[in-house]
Amino acid sequence: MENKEFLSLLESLSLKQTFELKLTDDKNHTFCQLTTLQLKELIKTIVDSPITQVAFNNTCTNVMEQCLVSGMDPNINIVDRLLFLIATRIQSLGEETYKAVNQETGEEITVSLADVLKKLQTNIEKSKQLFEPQLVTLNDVTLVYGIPTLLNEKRLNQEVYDNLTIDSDNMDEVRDFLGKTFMHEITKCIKSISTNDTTMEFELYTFDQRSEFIEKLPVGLIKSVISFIEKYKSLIKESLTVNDSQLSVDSSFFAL
Amino acid sequence: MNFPIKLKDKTVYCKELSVKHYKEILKAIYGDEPSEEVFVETITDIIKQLVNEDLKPVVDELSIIDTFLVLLRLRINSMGDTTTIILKSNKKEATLELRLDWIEKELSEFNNSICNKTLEYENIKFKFNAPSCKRLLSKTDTDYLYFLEELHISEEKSLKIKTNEEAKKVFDRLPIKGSITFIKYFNEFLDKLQEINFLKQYNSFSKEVLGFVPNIQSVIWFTKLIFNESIETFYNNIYYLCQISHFNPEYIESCTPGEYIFFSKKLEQTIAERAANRTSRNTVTNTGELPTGLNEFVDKSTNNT
Repeated sequence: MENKEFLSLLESLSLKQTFELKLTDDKNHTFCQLTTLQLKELIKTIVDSPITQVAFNNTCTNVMEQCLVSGMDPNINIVDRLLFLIATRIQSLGEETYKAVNQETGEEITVSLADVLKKLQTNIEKSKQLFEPQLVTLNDVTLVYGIPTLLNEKRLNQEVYDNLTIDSDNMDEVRDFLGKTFMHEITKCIKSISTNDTTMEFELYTFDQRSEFIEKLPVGLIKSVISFIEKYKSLIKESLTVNDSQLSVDSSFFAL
Repeated sequence: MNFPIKLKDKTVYCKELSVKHYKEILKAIYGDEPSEEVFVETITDIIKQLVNEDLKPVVDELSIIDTFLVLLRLRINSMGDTTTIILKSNKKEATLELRLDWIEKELSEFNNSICNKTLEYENIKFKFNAPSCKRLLSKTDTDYLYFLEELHISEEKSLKIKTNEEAKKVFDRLPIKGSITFIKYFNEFLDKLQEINFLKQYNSFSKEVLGFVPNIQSVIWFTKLIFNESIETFYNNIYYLCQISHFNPEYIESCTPGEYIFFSKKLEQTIAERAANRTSRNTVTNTGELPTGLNEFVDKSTNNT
């Protein structure tokens, strides 16, 4: 049999092995199982920025896009990606347990990933309002914001983090970087700013331009966004906490 | 004379090794870092010359372990089943008559138990086998890729993997559980490989380890062990067999290595007897090296004329 034909046949086999997963939109989506190449790509991201995790996040988004049978939905967010990563680890690697290390005590604990996934889905169900578009108005300025979408994060990585190099010995550079990272965390949640009859859709602007707009906003508005970010991150943290140990979903999560 | 060599799934009939082949082997393993390509070409070429016509295509497909087993059997049949080695441990030296037939048996058992296996994952079948010498010549970072010999999907569709690049392309497209099945077996293979110790049957040396790794460097090392005459000694012996015993070099090359060793030892005895009958300070060493003062023989023959 011809090599190309055989390789296509192998690819089609992978496409047939699927699993269903309910995302934050309350709908079931069909995903293919990971191939060995995709797993290798995920593991490669072990060399990554610990602050931005750009390589890992980009790779996960790409893999999720490749695995989603119906194609990428622009509303799929970073919590959906977390659901996918845990589910695909269970389905594709066929292992429901994971050995995690307690960072403080160094103790190794066995975690049931199925339980973690269930806990995360339960917490999402209980906090449905977090996954709706959020509104806050102050002095005729209205912000619409929500959980960052994967497309938005991908764009941030492409525009800002992909080509970023920092001299870690230069404290001014490091401070500047941390300040901008904090700003970008806020910016990537915001969908639009409205004032009187004018609405500024953020997707039409670069992240640097968006940051400029945000810097001019009253602190009271930004506080709401920060509070929202703390809430959804807290939901994630709580879902990934098992026996006082935090499960790290990063490149090491896929190391066998 | 033809003799059978039993491999895992076939029996190969071989002629005996000749001195000409023996010389080629010594040349191929000469030096601190013999060329892997030269070694593989030489050994496969020699084996092809010794097997029947219909088996020649099979030789290129032989795994590295099978190739070494053939070489081992050729050595045993032509030069005996022992070789003397010196083991050094804690500044002490000990001499051991290493049984090559024991090595052949242990390696054969390993080969039969763990190599040439079919693994299954859903409707995919993998054939796991030690790689051929030619496959080992092209390097890869991922060791288990060498061991993927063939892949079948749904019984009818199959692909024989000829290169590591092909193996990589196939692996990248496999579902992870399929890859894991293969890699797990590869790890079992490595665990079993670590259990090999050709010295474990020698009580005095049970703490020493002589293992085997299925790669070309290891086979070159073992070939040096089993064919441990230096090329210089070999050429010296041929020269003096021709010079003193008046052998024809073509005849010597057509003999088996066993016959060559016999003739060399006879030459050694003859020279030792002659030296004992004369007042001479030259001695014959155990390695079969002849006295450098050959002029004595030349002078004698000149005086006679």
